[in-house]
Amino acid sequence: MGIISRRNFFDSLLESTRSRLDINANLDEYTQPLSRLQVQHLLRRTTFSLSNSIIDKYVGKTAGFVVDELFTNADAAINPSPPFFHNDHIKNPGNLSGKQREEADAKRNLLFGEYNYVLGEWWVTLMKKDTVSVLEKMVLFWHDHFATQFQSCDNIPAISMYRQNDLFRKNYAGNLRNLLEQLTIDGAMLKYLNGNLNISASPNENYARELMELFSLGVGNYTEQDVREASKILTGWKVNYFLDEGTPYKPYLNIAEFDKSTKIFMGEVFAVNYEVNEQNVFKNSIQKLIDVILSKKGEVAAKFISNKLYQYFVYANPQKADASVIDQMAKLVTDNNFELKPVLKRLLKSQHFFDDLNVGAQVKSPAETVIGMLKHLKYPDRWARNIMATLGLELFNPPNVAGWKGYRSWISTKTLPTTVYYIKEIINNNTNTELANWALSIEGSGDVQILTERYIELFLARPVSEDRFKKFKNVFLSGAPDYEWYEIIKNKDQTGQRVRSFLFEIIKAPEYFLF
Amino acid sequence: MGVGVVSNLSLGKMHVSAFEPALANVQNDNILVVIQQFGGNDGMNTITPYEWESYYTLYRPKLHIPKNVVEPISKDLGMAMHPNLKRGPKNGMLGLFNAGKLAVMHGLGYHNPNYSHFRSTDIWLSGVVPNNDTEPLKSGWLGRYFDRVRPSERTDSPFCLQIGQNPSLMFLGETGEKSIVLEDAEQLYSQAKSVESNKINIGGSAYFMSEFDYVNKVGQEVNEYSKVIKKAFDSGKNIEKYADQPLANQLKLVARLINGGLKSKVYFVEHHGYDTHSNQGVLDGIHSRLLAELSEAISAFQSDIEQLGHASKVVGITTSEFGRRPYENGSLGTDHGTANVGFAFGEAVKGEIFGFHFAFLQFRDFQNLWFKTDFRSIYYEIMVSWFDQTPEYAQNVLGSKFAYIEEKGFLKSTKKDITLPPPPDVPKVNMDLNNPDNPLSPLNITEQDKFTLYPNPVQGNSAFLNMRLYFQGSVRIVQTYVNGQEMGVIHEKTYQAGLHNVYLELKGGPGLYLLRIKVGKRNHFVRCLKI
Repeated sequence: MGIISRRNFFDSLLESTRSRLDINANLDEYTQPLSRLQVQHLLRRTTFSLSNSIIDKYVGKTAGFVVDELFTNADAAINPSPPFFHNDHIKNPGNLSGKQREEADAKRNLLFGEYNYVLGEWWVTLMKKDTVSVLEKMVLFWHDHFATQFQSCDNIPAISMYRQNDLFRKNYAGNLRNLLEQLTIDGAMLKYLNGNLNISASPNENYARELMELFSLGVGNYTEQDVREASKILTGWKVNYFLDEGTPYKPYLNIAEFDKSTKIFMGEVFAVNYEVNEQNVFKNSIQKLIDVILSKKGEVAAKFISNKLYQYFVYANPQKADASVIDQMAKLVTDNNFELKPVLKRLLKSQHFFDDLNVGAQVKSPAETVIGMLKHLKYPDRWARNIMATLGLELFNPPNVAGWKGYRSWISTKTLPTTVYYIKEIINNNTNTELANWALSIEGSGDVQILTERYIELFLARPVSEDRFKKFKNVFLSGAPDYEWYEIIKNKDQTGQRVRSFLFEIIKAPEYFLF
Repeated sequence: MGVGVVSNLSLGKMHVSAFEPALANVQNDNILVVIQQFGGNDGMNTITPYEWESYYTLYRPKLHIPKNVVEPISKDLGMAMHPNLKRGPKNGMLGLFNAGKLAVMHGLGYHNPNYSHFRSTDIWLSGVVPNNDTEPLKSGWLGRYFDRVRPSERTDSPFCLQIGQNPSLMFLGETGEKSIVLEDAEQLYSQAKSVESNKINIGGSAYFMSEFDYVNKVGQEVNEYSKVIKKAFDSGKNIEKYADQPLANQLKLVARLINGGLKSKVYFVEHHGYDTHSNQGVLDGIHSRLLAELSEAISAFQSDIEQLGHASKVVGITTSEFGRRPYENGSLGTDHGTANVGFAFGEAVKGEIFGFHFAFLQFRDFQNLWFKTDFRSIYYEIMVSWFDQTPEYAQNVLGSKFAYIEEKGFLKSTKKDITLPPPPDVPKVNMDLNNPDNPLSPLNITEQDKFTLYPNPVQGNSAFLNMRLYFQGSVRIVQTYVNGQEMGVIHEKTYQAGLHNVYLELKGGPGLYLLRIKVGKRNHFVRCLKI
């Protein structure tokens, strides 16, 4: 492991202030070996949980190498073991009586309620475990993009929510076309945006509108006529939850409710001149609809998704100078026929991504603060899920179909003190000995200088000034000279107490909330 | 439909620059208290049209407040208060009305109403009525108001204080949040101590620095304000006794902070639970309990403020995202509606009734009412008459000028302004039953019709369908298999509005079926199990 000298450490602070106009807008690969700060930058943006040893492992490697690993590891992790209830199918309690009904009712309540919380816990566990892989960050991206709340008027069962999450996972960096096709008939989505109520006799426009406004094109890029025609094209898809009413959770077409009239969408004729069955309708209506959107408005769609990916991975508030980067991304998206892996890899390896202007400029969401701490400490995942919910990011329950507002909305006069409060809760769930064990497991922790550096690189967006560094270090020493640390760490209780105080100082720092 | 609106400034897209160059000063130390009734208050059962037969027979056959228990406040207008509005010190809100300190404002609403809680709440909080359902509402009216107001003298108090959990859109300005959110002054104080409170100067790249400064500033605000709030809390007191309920406790805290010398201009408190889709109840129901809490809290607060000596400086208003529909639904509740009643209280308000009972407004569609006064009229008047800002400033915040309610306004300090637009007109509605534009046309109805099959499960083939139709219409019932395949028409007939019991002869053997019931142009489904 390369121990950095103090001098190098502070050299990494930029002396001058550069404006955004100086940004390197080149998407060509950044080929220099990565510095410690650059490794942190890349991994913080692409994963939820970082550790010092992971940073050690990738210092000096190239962006190309690390990014390829991020995707290889993600590919290998797309089949986690499902939550225990994923096959808990029941009969409709309404069709049962007596004891059977009671049992089915109880199970139904779990499926539509409690299990959605269990599902959140299941995902927290995965986020925490997922290192050097872009998988969970992308799954959260899709959950935000195709936002579906389990807690709508009529709750959505956890199995549907799980299946949607699984779809995101399997297609984490897949093809946008495929995702749009699959989401259109996804069980949770059919329920959430009333696709299941969209029938030929009375079309419901909810999903058709969001498909274009929020999922593919953006507001202003379609007409009301497009919404009306698209909703007719999408009629008839249903999902059942109960064993006695078909295959549970598997979307299907109710032929009787599919609108068989001829529709004209964005100038394309959708005639039903084929035998009406599930396969044909999927092909000639759903797939064709998505295809018309992506071919008639391909550039708009490519730019829309590129902009969102840019905001998620690079900077949430892109400025004029970034527009050319987003344009280049959009071109890659269309060139690759909406395959997203190429553009993601290109972006994350790029000179633009590693431009120092982009380092540390993102505001952490509760997922980043909570999971980032959870990795190192003892705390129940279920409670962590609850903390995230209290702080405004409840998994499987975004505030509305537009997803989370993100960016600065994560930090308000209410959430800032509450975040600190709950992160302290997580820290305080650990004894002094446990905290000491963590600190002492960090390589080089016998040197208080190195230990301070290691903690700062773990939690703060950028290295701090010499003054503040001294202040942080002094929390470990309480005024004693550096060499006293060798004595202090012989006593675990005392060490743990100091680590605790140190962490309290770290989570106070404004750059703890940035990454 | 821009009735009553002078210009059509698109506010959703408005930038701060629209305010240039007007920087306004804080003009006085008047205080506004906003009570948000979350969920949509049922205005019709808050102020009842007690002498109107249709209220008891047509609209609320089950959910009306009996005539013999209500408290008439205007014989001429046929209006009475729910009896629970006399709960609380000095006869509650009824006492306030009789003492001339409560304004009753009927028919508040806006064009093209939205029936979603979230969206309509956002519309009220933002003070922007968007052109379509998807236009983002990015800032609140008080947030924009305080974007450009600066304290006339150095004050340590936050502009706005919100008692609750999540920062409200109302206080989000183009330049950040204008409120501090707290539930408990002491908790905030202790939590704020763990937040960085010093301004830290750092080097680094431009974007990092701007985000850093943002977080740092929020931290400083929390810290600074938490001390000011704690100080006001410690030196303030309450005299009146409050009920131990969430709303009363929030207002109690507000009174104490005002008394303790906090200089915040706006206080925001929340009253939850008004979304009474089912089991709304009558005198002992959910809605009645909420009104009792409301009356107890408001009257105790007003009495407290008077005894503490701040009454000339404090005005309160109630807001709710929408009213509920005139017709009760089939689950002993009421569904999301449009126009609603709002209250204003304090020594500075005119103790009058504004508007006729909104229940007499015309229907704008088959089940919802037109509004009478744009809710932004209230905001406009508050800015101009209570905060003493210029009309131009208020216009910038709201995007246009708004007529005062009934042109005279609800505040004593309001002066007649002939430059204001006329109040919105309730449009004439086409009442020709055969015209599709008629909101009462059968073609436009039935969403609220209810169907219940009994017994269900059905033994044998005979069953009854209990139908509640709100308008006359042709009813056609088709029995289908669960996969949607039709088995045939089992009933077809035209019915008058009202309750009907229809005898049905079902087809097929034991199993699960669907009844597709088509009324006018709409479909309903009832699941039926034959055993």
